[in-house]
Amino acid sequence: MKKRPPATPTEAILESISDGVFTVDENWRVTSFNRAAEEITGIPRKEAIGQLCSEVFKSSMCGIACALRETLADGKPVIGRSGYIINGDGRRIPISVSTAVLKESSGQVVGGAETFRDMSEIDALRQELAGRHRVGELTSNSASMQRVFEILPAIASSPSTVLVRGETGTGKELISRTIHDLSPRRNGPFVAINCGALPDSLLESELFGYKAGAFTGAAKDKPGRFALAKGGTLLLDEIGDISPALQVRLLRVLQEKIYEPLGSTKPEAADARVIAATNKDLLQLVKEGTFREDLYYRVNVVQVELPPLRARKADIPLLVQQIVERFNRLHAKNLPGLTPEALSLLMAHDWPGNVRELENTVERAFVLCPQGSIDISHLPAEITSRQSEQSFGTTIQHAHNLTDSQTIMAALKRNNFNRLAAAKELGIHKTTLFRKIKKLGIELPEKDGRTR
Amino acid sequence: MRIALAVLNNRIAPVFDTARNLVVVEDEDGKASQEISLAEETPVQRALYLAEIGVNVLICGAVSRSLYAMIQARGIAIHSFVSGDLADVLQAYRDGRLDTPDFAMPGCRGMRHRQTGGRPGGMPHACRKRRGWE
Repeated sequence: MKKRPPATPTEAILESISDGVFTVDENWRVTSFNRAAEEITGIPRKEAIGQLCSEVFKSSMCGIACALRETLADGKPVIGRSGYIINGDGRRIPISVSTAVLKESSGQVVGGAETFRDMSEIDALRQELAGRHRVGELTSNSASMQRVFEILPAIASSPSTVLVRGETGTGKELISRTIHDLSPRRNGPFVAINCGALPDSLLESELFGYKAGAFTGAAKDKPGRFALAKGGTLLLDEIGDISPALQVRLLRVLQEKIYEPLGSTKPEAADARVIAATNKDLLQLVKEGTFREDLYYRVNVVQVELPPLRARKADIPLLVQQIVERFNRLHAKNLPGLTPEALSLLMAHDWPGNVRELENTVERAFVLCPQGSIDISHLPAEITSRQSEQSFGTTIQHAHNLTDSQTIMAALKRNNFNRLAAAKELGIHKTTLFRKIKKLGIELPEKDGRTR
Repeated sequence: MRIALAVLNNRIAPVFDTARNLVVVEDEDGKASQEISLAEETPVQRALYLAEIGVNVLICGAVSRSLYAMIQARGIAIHSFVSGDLADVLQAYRDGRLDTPDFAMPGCRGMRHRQTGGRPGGMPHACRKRRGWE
């Protein structure tokens, strides 16, 4: 076998750096692909060389937004352009690219070079700091959330006030941010205020702001949340907790679109799209007389109902996976996830605190688990104590059944309800599949996907 | 059966999330096809749009998990991580040979490879088996 010639200094450098580098010829075929490029994309050099760069790289910029195409056209290098690539698992990996033109000694352009950096860590930390979640990551397997997703674009594009209803920890703020990001106001500010956390007097000054000298301690003008949200979206969380006096003021702002900061008689224009959120039954509060009926109808123009986690248990495995990945980044660990037994217990729990409780539970387990998979021993008592209420066996069995039927249903859907294909995909014999379908009581539609 | 193929320069577009052109074919008469422009939109909107125009099968390149799940949830069958010239891919689909390495994107051809990608757990890429992601 022919011995490989020793690496040139350039090759050695390219192999040692952590940024991916690849070069292409005039036909956009990959001519070189360094080690970091292999690692970030997950594609071995052998499979990349000679292929169209866009098919290897799979980036959000491939096509009209291609940085290299731009550079080859105008000769100007692109530095640090952001985008993402999609890896073989369908995960978006945020990257930053830079380009250069490749010329031979005569000055003739022979191709291009592109360098890219994996921005996952930085991106994740930045988002954690900002308290945001990527819009593209909002996903669910359950029908109840699909219904919410269906109406989001329409809600976002209209300027109407939205009321988001859901138990604590169901993601009311996340959905509100998503509505903002989908709306024409997406480039404007997103401002949130928790109306339940502040006493009335403070809430008033927070919402409307104040002028210098409005009260003792008001040294200078302070803009209220309405002002800060100008051109953007304002989330009024726990709106059911506002006092009747403040309800009147809020009603006026929503109707007239003007308000006065404390200590000022000059009205300011309110230019914020309002989203109200609550975990209470506002209509009930209206009946009890603690919430104004006219404010209720002003706020409840469009309603979004977020289902509790126990109504969308199919999403628990997916959510857990996302949470584990996030904590892996933050705690610089590399835990693969949960054992099937631990996951089954999570599936069996009712989650009164919904997604937030799930996040807390997984985070606590994370701290307790030094390495390897998170197991039952790492889960808190509230989850594991179900064992003492019912016999351990039936809880686990029930949870197993739930996960099984969801896995089977998903496989059937993917194969157009063709049982044979689904069984093949799941790696079980078709009679086993038929038996499981019968035992778990899975309902199948009329069509059976058999090829004619 | 309405088949949609995401295209770029007469080949399957490499990334469905950002693809701008769709070729839609009615499988029964085979010949009739139309080109549709896709807007720059969020995954949710894209999945809804496909369902709206009655697509039954989508053939595309790389697609992110969440978009894949949303399209699938609407009952559309997806053949993802496909590459090749439009006509060849369409013919391969009709002949049932789309799932072969010939039409798989680089990195998805089933070649055994050390665990990479930097993902926690370092699983080999799902696109090799062209399964859905559980």
